[in-house]
Amino acid sequence: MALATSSIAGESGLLMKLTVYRDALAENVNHVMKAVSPRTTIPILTGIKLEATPEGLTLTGSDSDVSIQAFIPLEEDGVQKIEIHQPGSIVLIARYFADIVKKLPNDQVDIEVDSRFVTRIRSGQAEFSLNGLDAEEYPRLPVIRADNVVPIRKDLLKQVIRQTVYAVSTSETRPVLTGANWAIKNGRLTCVATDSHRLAKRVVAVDVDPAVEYKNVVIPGKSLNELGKILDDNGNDWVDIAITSNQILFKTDNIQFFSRLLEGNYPETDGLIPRDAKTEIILNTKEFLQAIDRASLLAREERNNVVKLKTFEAEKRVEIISQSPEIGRVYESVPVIDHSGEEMRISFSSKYMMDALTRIDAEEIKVTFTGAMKPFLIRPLDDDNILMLILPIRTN
Amino acid sequence: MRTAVAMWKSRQSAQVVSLISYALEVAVMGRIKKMDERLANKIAAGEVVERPASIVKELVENALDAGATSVQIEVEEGGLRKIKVTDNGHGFLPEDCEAAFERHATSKIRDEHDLFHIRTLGFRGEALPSIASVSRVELLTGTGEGPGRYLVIQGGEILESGLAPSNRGTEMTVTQLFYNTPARLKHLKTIHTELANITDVVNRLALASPDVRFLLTHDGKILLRTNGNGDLAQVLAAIYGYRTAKASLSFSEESLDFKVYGRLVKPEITRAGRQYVYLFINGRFIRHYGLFNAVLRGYHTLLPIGRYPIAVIHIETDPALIDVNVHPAKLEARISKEKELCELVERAIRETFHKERLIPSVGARPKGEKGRSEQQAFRFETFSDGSAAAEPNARDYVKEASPLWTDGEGGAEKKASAPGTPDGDRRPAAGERETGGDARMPELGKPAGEDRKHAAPHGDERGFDRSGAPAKQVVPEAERPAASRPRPVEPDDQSARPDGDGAAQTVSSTGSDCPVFHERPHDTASLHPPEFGLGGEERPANGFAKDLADETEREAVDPDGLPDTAGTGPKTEARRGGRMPVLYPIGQLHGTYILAQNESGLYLIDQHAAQERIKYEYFREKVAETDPEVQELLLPLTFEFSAAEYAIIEQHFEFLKSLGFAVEPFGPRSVIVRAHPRWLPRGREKEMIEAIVQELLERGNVSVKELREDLAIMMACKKSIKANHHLRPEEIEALLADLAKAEDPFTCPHGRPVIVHISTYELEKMFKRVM
Repeated sequence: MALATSSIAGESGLLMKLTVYRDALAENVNHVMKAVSPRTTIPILTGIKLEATPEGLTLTGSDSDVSIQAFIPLEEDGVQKIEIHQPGSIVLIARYFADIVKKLPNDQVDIEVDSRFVTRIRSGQAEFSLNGLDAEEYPRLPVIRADNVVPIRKDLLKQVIRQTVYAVSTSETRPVLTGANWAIKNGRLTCVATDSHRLAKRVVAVDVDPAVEYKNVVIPGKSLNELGKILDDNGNDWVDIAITSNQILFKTDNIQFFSRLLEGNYPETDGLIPRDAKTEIILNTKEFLQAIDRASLLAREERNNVVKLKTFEAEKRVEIISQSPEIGRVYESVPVIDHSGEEMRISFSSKYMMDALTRIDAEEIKVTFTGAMKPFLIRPLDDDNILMLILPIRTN
Repeated sequence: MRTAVAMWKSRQSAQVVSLISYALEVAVMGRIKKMDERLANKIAAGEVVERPASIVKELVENALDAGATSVQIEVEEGGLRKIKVTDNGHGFLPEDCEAAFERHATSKIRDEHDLFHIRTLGFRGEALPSIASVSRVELLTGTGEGPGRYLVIQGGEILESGLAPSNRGTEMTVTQLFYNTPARLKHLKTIHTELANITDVVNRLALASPDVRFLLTHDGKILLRTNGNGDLAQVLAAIYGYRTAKASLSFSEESLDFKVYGRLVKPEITRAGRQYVYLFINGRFIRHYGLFNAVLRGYHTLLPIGRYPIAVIHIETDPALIDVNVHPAKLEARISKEKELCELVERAIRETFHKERLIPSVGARPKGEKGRSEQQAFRFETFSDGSAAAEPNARDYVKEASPLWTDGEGGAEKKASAPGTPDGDRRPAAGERETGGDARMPELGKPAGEDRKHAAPHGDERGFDRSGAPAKQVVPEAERPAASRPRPVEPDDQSARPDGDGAAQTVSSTGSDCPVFHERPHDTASLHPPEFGLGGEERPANGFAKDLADETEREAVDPDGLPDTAGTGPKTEARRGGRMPVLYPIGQLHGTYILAQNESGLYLIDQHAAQERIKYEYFREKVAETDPEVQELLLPLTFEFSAAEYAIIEQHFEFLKSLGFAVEPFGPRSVIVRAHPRWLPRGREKEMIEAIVQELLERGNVSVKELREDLAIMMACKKSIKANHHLRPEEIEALLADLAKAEDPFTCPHGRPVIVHISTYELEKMFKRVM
């Protein structure tokens, strides 16, 4: 180790030296911060790794689920972003480094690291001296050999994440359910998430060889949420996805987002989705959502946020009722655009219903019931690629 | 006149004794009359004989003072109908019998010098006349030489007396208790309560004298039986049951003036009440606030909030340092050099636990509660067939220079440093019967083969296999044969024989140390109930014996495996002598618990509690560093004290200044504080200063570390990973490695357990692999 550093260190005795534009640095530090957890059992993981190469500066943050690598090239779109005086690497405690970078006074930031890992950050009149850690101690990122890269449009990926990840389980009691299950087959990507009380499923077409097939790729919900935050709406429109047996990599121009994959087999969910229908109603999404939202005001006290739904076929309406013995009750009638099948009375969690309705992105929805104790489906009126499923609540 | 008034007023005070005797000597005329002796006795009885339990106490203490090695106490109807105490002590000389019932007659002290060097339990010469004045007493005694005597006394009057057989020992029968003091009789509680009091008294006496055989019966039922072989653990077992005794540790510590020893029950068993801390000074049970607190300090952070330990603490010292003549019941004592003693007790307890592994074992717990409405859930019965991702061991992580892991070296280091640790040598000094070496670190000073006799063969066990990393663990030459040894659970293995005696014998004969709970095996083996039969219904004989057999068997089957892993486990770079067993992580449960294994079974570790402990120890040191920042006060705080308090505080001015308090005298008995250190919690400055002053007054010093402990605990809690938090294998390894280095890895700073253990044997029992 000592040999390695001395050979890297330049004549100046510095381990690393560079000048970087503050905004570019701040933005990318912000990205990798998403992967840095304040609590960890391995102290060096509370840091951000900076690695300067003649090509640019790479920032790395990592926690138990996710590793994010952001690259600042020497220049982008003809604008110079960074100047490398002495290549090298260092790990700085993320919390301090990120805050410092955000508040530096000048557009330009000078960073230099001496052989004792003391890092000087200079901008305008401000000069910070941070005690860094040896970058050699920082865990290596996974190496992913991408045989089959799956490209997907950035905005579509964000939509898929938004429409499915909300349904993952937040409890580690069944770890595999804390992730979303991805499968690729016949050029279609199917994403499923469930916490065993509700389920969300989204199918999108991806531009790959139909022979490429992946299944049981279970990505932690947390990772996907972070990914959703990092993906901006501009820049390159495509994200490349590479999948190995236990890692997945999402790659844009300058960001590499690694996530672990969850171990274990994701349960078979196709069989859970009812095929037949006893009752089918068509509703205006917004009206229905607002009614549920109001009903949930009183349902909140109950542990399960229970609301009751009752259909009136002849009157073309549904009733939504919620009551709490101590507080009071709410009653609301919502018009139904179309009703087929028998009458239905069912109780469900208003929270689950709202989660689904706010993400379905359709003006009118089709709700399909198969029984008071059976799961029911919510789908856009004429789009089979999105499906939300909720299990009812048994009330005594 | 004055004497009489004083006498009545100070009924409770000890002075009454001397005043009465003074009154007896001086012939008084006029209105003041010398009290009838029986009346005086009855008055004294008010404080000596409060309830049946006090009679039991006095009589048994007499028996013990008479050098008895066996004391039998028979009680009927909570002692109201009859209390009979039989001992095999030296007995009364025939000519002493009547004198014994006279006031202030005693054989135990003769002059003032004796009073300050009391070695007997009694000495005031009050008990017998007091008892005799409120009941009917039958005395049957003999010295073993010449004829014995018998004597019947009621209300202080001798009714009968005569010669008796010359058996050595004394039998005292007390009946018709309080027949002539109706008020006292009326205030007695239920039989149940009185019996509980008697049991308490006898328990204490039995714990005080483990070398005396006690038998307590109530209406013919055995309530307590000890075998008098001097082993405190067995007395504990007789009182609190086998499990408690097994979870207790013997300890011993000495200073120039004091010697303390006894047994401490591990914090896995606690009580809600304080009365289970038994303090004995020179064999006498006492209550002492200062010492009690010292015991609690010794247990610090090991006990959950609001829980108290079970502990038996014997203190031996020169009687001259102890004044027990505070109250007739002699429950209180004044101790010279109290501070020194408290520190000794605290240190002894702390060090005992610091040397031990305190991993509680698991039992099944009931659970379940359902709300009114129930959210239905999927049942995933069909699982997708094996897929590409189902390759749990493959890792893409490559770590070349992992700071967490140094193969092999750690083990060697441990071996080198281990002999230096000062373990074991204290115990023999304690005069304990257990001299079977140190159970704690079996790898030391033990013939290796013997240890390995029981060890499960786990040569194949490698813990977490981290592909890529050089995962080959160094298995020292000597350890290897272990793998080929027979499994200890095979039926033909001698040590696993499920018959109680066999198991017990096996264990004691190998004399080895299977430190499941750091109980020496022969120690627990001898927790068998006393030899002389086991007749009580209250404890089914078979169950107990079988239980014991089971347990001993378990010990035999289930070594803690340290010997085998000493070389293979680089993780315990044991600063503290490797109190944590070497653990190989299996994985994580519910994102909350770490599962780990070794030869002796399965371990569950609460990840939050574990990191909390690690961080706590870090922050505790950190906050102790007095930072020099001082907050000036615009409006100074003033504190007023009594003259006596002020005198003490004045001496500590310099010390307070060194802590960062700007203190000045302010008027005759007031102190003004113009600035305080910045770490005082905001809004609680006054409260904290008062607490500091109180500490100074009580203990003469203040530890910033202790004052800021809450802060350390809070910081530790906040900075630690929470439950429901996924950990990578590397993180689990790092956590376990850090935990192994912790001073007290077994409880979090709030006293909750960090790690629990399910032994291989328990697992095998669950699956009926062994019966």
